Amino acid sequence: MKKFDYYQPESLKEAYGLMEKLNGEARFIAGGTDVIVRIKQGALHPDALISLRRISALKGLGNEDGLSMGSMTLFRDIERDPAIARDYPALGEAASVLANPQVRNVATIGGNLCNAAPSADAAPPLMVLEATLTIEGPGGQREVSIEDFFRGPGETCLEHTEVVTRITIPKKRKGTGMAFLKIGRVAQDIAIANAAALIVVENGVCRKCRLSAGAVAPVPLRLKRIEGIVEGRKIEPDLLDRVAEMVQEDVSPITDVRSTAQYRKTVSGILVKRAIKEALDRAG
Amino acid sequence: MTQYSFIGTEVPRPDASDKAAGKALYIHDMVLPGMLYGKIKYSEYAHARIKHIDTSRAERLPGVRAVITGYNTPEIRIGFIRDNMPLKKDKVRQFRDEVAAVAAIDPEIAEEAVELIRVEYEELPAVFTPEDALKEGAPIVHETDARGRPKSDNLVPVAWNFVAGDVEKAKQEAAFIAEGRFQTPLIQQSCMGTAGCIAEFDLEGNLTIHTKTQIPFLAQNDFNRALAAIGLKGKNTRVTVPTLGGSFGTGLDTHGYEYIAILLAYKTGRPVKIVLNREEEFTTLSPRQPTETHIIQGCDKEGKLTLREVRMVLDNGAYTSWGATTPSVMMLPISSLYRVPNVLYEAKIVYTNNTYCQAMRGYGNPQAAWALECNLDDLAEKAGMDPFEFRMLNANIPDDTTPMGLNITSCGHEACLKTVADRLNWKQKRGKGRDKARGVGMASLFHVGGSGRVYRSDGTGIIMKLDDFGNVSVITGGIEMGQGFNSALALVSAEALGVTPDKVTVISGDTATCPWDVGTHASRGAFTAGNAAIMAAQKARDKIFRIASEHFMPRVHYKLKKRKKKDPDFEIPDLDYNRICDPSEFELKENVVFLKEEPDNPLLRVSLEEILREAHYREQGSMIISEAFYDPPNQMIDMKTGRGNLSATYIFGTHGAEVEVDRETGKVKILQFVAAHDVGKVINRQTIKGQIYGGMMQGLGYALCEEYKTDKGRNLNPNFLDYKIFSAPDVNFPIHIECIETDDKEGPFGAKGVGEPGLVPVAPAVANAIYDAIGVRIRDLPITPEKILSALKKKQ
Ligand SMILES: Cc1cc2nc3c(=O)[nH]c(=O)nc-3n(C[C@H](O)[C@H](O)[C@H](O)COP(=O)(O)OP(=O)(O)OC[C@H]3O[C@@H](n4cnc5c(N)ncnc54)[C@H](O)[C@@H]3O)c2cc1C
Repeated sequence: MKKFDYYQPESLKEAYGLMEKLNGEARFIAGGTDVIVRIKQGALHPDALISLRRISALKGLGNEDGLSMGSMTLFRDIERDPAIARDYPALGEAASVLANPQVRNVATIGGNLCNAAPSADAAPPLMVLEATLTIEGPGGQREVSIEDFFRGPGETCLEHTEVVTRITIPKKRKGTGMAFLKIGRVAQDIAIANAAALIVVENGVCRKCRLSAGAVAPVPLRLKRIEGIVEGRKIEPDLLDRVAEMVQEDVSPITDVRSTAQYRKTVSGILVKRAIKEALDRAG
Repeated sequence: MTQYSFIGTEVPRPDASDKAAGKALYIHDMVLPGMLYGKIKYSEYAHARIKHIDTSRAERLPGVRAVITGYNTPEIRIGFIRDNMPLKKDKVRQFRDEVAAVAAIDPEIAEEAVELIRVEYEELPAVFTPEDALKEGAPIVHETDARGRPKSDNLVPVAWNFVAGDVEKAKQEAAFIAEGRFQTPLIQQSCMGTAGCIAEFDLEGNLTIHTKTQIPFLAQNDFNRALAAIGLKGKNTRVTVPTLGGSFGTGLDTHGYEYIAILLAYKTGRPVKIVLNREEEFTTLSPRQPTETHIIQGCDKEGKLTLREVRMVLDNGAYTSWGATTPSVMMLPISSLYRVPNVLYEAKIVYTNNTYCQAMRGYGNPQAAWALECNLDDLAEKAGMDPFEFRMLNANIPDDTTPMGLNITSCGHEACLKTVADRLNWKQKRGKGRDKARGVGMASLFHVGGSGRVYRSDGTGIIMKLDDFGNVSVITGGIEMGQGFNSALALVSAEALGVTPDKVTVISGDTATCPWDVGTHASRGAFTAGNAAIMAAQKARDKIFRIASEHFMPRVHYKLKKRKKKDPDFEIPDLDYNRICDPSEFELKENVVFLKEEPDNPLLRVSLEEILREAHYREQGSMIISEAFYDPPNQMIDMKTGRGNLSATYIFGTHGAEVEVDRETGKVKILQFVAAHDVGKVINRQTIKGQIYGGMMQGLGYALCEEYKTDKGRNLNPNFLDYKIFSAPDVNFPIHIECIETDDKEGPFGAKGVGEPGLVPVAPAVANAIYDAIGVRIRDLPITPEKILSALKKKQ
């Protein structure tokens, strides 16, 4: 493993200031569960790591008008938060099946998103919850919808010097149900496929539908075409089977050591279908 | 039934706390003064000619102390048939072939130096499946054999054949026949502790090597040969074994990296450590052989098995390890699991340019059980019989000699089958869960339970040494590698000697101080060392009782007088203190020597340590040290006839699984698992359960997810992110373990070996349950969700 310098800035400004100074040869480190693994694998060779741990602006979990999470929020805290379990169960479920308790005790939600793996477990729930990311850098602050955040495997809309500071989720509407599902080879695995659904039902009719599928395209997907088919309809078995088929058309997975593309297609459809069903049960 | 003090109890293992707290010393923890770090440069091709190796840049790197290749070191031939060398010259035959190595003052420099070595190759056509390797005109992996004679095919010159009765005739007469092709994949042993060693020489040229091995004494022999090859004929190797984090067969051979550490240590005069990282553990150790099996079984109208024909092809990889002898163990279940008179077995082992293979826990048996037990369900179905009834009808029975000449003595096969059927509620469930995609299945195992004579000797030595305080050192040649050997040996020794287990310390892992042992394999550790311990304990007791015959009554007298002094009211009873006792009058139990005739007399008791001190402090004293060598009454297999009573006794077991299959995703959920094992006798209930749980977990991984994936000989998943084993969160179902005690007459206190069996029948039990649930049979492991989905699709 190559040697690198390690910085622990106390403020955001100091953090991106350092990043500017180090001319692109540095990396931010949050929990390090992606970045250190990649350095050890020889896939990354930064001259320096800039830790985000001491920056208090990146911490804190609040649930007043919607949910607001600092990017340094640990998955262990998300998993254990009673308000998240009650109001945003899809997010809580994703947190509780990410890796294992040891990893969840250090891994952050910001790191999961910024790492931009197509399989990132936090992505589908945040997609269906229509989360907004607050980003800050030398050029100031901006807000980006999570939908526009991912650009490709390992690629985001972040400038090299920018930091994701917060993730906010709008307040939950009445009649909303949501679910997250994941399939791996064993209990602790990176997703072969994952999916989330959010449904708002009024008088038995779906008023709003948000669907997302992960690990089946270069980025976590929003399935807008299918959302449009579901909205305004009663959710019945025929419709769900059609959804499963349509998902297969809309995804473009790859074959790797975890799974073949064909299997990913199939289960992606099944997971979306089941997530809708579960969301529907919870919408009541 | 004999009443035991410690046999059959459920107690934590003596090594448990140290391991849990991180105090146990693994090879990774060991640092010697002046130690260098070795690193190996591996091939970049599956098959290529080495044209040139340029080590000059590595040699110039500051901190590098030696760079070696096959061209500047003596030739050492290694492996089961000596077809391998620690450093390759002329040609590489697999990606893991070692072409150069360095020793440097720290691991980072060593790694950097290895990257500076440039090797020029000329790529050669390669073969990656036995099928291709056997084709006419296929590239030849070894152009010559170990003796330099030309070789024109890719067959490993170790052939296994067995014939009993007349299979062809039986086929014609059979009422029902089932035929199938079954495959098993390459899988990695996945030890928590990776492999490694430290080699060092003294100034006389003697070698000490601290290394991860299951065979310290055979390794000593191998390394002494290496010493001779490097010009140190007559010098000796001392092998010591640190705490092992699992071995599962990886320690049955000596390895290239060990010889490289030796060569580097010799060249530099410094201790050299080579420890594999996880990726190297995956890519440069020998995984379990993949097999392709063509099986035919047949039975008569009533369902009695009449024939079994098994033709198997094993992918050897590029070199030959002891794993080439796994067909000898496969021969056991193939010839003798269930009673079947007509048997034909043939195994071909084929060189390819894949990583070379070794045995893993079960030594071939899991591959054999996979084909046998799946195909048996197919046959039962053809015969219109319930698979449980079918198995009961053909089950092994006690006191039977099988076609291979195996003498079955104690045998709990029927009891295992019945226990599993009861526990699973078989009658209510079998064939009735299709609508819910639920099913039950079972499979049995047959394995050596009384060691296995793979080498000319199947022996093991024990030394028992007692000190002044009643402590007992049990010194053994066997190896604790996580299986609970030390715990079993401590309990057997305590029981046999008459001390409490806390007084016993097991000492092992040093060829200079421990008595000889052929190796910890074949589930033989507790069986052989236990028997040797009983023999040694008897000798120690004889010595103790001889000393007691002189000193017991005087000690009693002395103690009574002392008591009188303290308590004047105490009346010294009327005893004959001059009574000369005969050694045969004594008994020793739980650290106390007493008279057999008066076991309950509180006055006539002397602690063992007092007697031991008398031995040391009296005039012309003596020591209580005893030794014994146990070599079980078993036979080597005659290579010509395939016959021989390989083990002193045999072990049986049946596993049962209840599963639910998700028809949409193909995921298999285990609802419950039952493992019934004829263990002879439970020694430590906690350890035996641990062995069976662990075996079952490995078996489930083999059944459902483990696969060492390769692309043209190169491993694609050399880490636990990409290579998945079953772990604790996967066990979200009840497991019932049932130990059936058949009290074996050869076993120590009736016990048989149980190290390997726990994983043997898991995969077929699960596959049979899946078939019951959804009516599809998967014949190639692992049973992935994807295979299930495509089989379901085909069925529709
Ligand atoms: C054993 C193991 C199992 C795993 N299992 C899963 C799993 O099941 N599901 C899953 O989704 N992931 C899994 N992961 C991946 C990883 O744990 C998660 O992606 C985790 O959330 C990463 O967070 P981190 O804080 O550790 O990120 P880090 O490794 O610290 O950072 C990841 C990347 O994001 C950048 N970064 C981090 N924070 C910020 C920020 N605020 N602003 C800008 N850039 C930032 C870093 O520079 C880096 O490039 C696993 C990892 C391991 C080691």
